[in-house]
Amino acid sequence: MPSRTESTHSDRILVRLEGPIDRQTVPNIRKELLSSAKKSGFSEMEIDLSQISHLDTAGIAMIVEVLRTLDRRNRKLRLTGLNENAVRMIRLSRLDRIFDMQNHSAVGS
Amino acid sequence: MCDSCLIDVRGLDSYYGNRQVLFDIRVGIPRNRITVIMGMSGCGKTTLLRHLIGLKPSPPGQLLVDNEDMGQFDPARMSKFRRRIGVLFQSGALFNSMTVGENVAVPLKVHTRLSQSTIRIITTIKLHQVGLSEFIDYMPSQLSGGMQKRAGLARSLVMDPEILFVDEPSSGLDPITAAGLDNLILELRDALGMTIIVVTHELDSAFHIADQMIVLDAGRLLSVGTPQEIRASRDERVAQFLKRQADPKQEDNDAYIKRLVGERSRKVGVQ
Amino acid sequence: MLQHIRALGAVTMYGVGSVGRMGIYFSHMLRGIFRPPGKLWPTVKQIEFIGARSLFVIGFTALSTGMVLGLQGHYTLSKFGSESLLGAAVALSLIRELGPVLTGLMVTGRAGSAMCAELGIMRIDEQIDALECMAIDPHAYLIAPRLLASLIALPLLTAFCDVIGIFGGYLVGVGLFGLTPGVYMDSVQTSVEWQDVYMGTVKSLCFAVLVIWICTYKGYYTGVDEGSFGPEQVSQATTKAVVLSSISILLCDYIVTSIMT
Repeated sequence: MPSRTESTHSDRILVRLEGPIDRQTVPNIRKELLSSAKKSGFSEMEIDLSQISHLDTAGIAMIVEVLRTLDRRNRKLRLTGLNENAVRMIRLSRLDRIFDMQNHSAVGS
Repeated sequence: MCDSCLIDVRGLDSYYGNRQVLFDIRVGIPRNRITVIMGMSGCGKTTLLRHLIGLKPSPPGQLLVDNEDMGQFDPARMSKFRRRIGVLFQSGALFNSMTVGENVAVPLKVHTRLSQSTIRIITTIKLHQVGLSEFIDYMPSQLSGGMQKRAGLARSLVMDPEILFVDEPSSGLDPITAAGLDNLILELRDALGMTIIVVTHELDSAFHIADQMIVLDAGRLLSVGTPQEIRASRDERVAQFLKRQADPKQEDNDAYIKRLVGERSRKVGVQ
Repeated sequence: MLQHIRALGAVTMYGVGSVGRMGIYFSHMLRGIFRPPGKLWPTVKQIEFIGARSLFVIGFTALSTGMVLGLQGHYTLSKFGSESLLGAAVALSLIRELGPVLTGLMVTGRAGSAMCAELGIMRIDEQIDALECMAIDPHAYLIAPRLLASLIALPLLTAFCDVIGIFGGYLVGVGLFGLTPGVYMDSVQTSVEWQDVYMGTVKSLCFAVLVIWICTYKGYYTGVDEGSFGPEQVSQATTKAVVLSSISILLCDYIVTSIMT
């Protein structure tokens, strides 16, 4: 079962995701993640993916949706804790240009 | 025979009515590797592919997937197997009444509860991988044959399958696009560890991507091995196949002349 | 001699096998109604295809048939001095018989042949194979919506046909032969009973099943027996589908009429 924990530090929201992030679990997490992205009063969201077990294209798509929502409000998205699988999925999806890839983390804008 | 293989073909015989088209095929398909099935037209490679994807029922005991007998799969078990695979048919097999994007999204719409916008993004990603993202709202009939095939590939990848089956990927494509597809296939193996089975008669492409090659001739297994082994094969028929030469045996010529000239040719001594 | 017996045996086996396969197909078609994917939107689209697009054809057929019934009916009835019963004659003929049958035949020709061709093309292009390999049941995805749509559309089209036909008879009876409008409509009202409408509806439902079953079956199995998958097979399948479907409708018509009379 995937889970999501959220905490706020000054003007950053940190979201930690756990478990598989794939086409079966995305419908469960997506709504809450997007509503967090729409909240007011912060300039950067960080999603910690170090505890996820698996990431597929549906998970990538959800992250892109979050990025789009944040981008419309001129906010940044930072992905941290990327393992090999996640980095490869991002590259395979040709999204390595949108995300600034730097050792285990990526910043989207 | 091959316990670590994903698919194990153990003495497969195949018939269309009374006509036998595959004779005692014994071969293993390894995991996380690219296996290329090759042969001249009509050698049975497409029939073998249809057995591997379950479209043609296999007799019990002759085809194992993950050590389970596919010949004894009930519909539910077969359905489970099919959710792990993606298949690209020779023509792309797109549905004519939907746009390219809707075509690619079909498995997602039927099998998942993903939202419309998530599906749209996944579809765009997959179409971008095959170089067709601008054509997402076009109808299949507006695309060339090669583009339809690429769209079909995007659809077969949309559920991130473990196993990918491809029937003649390069046919109808120009060399540059074909090379692009070959590189995508290689990337899928490297990045995702996908097991890929390709049926083709394009030798260049085959040697470029194959980890294992299976060569069929008239329904029989001619040779199995790595590209290097196949190239170095001492078997004359394999060497001829690689050189794309016709069989120089005389029998066919004799039969042809007999039909033209009649039996008298024997008495007259015509060669 | 032996050859002929062998050939006869082969043909018989093939015939029996085909009938069996059609029966299995029928059960798959019904089962497909209750399996995923969702049916609502595809069924609505098919109602538009089968029903809405047939309105013009049916309307035209109904009007001319109604007018002919008016002409013939008046001719026959005037021999017995019963011209005032024209409304009844036209209405009963249409509601009990011609409405459902003509609607069934027109829908076969228009929508049935189109569906057969569409499925045949899908078959030869490996699209049905593709659906199976995506773990999607083609009967549930392609055929069941058409069956449901047909069960809704055909009775409605039949009713439409009946109304336009009765109007056609009215045009001839009142407009041409000078019958009093009130007399025409009154004879319709007094002679038509619920039994008649019920019979017409039962027929249209039976025909709905027949059209879809036969036309989609022929399209679905295009080329499968011949082992050859090309345009020639599609056109052959479509022709056979229309002929078989039409004959079945007429046969079923007799059976239902004799049961319900």
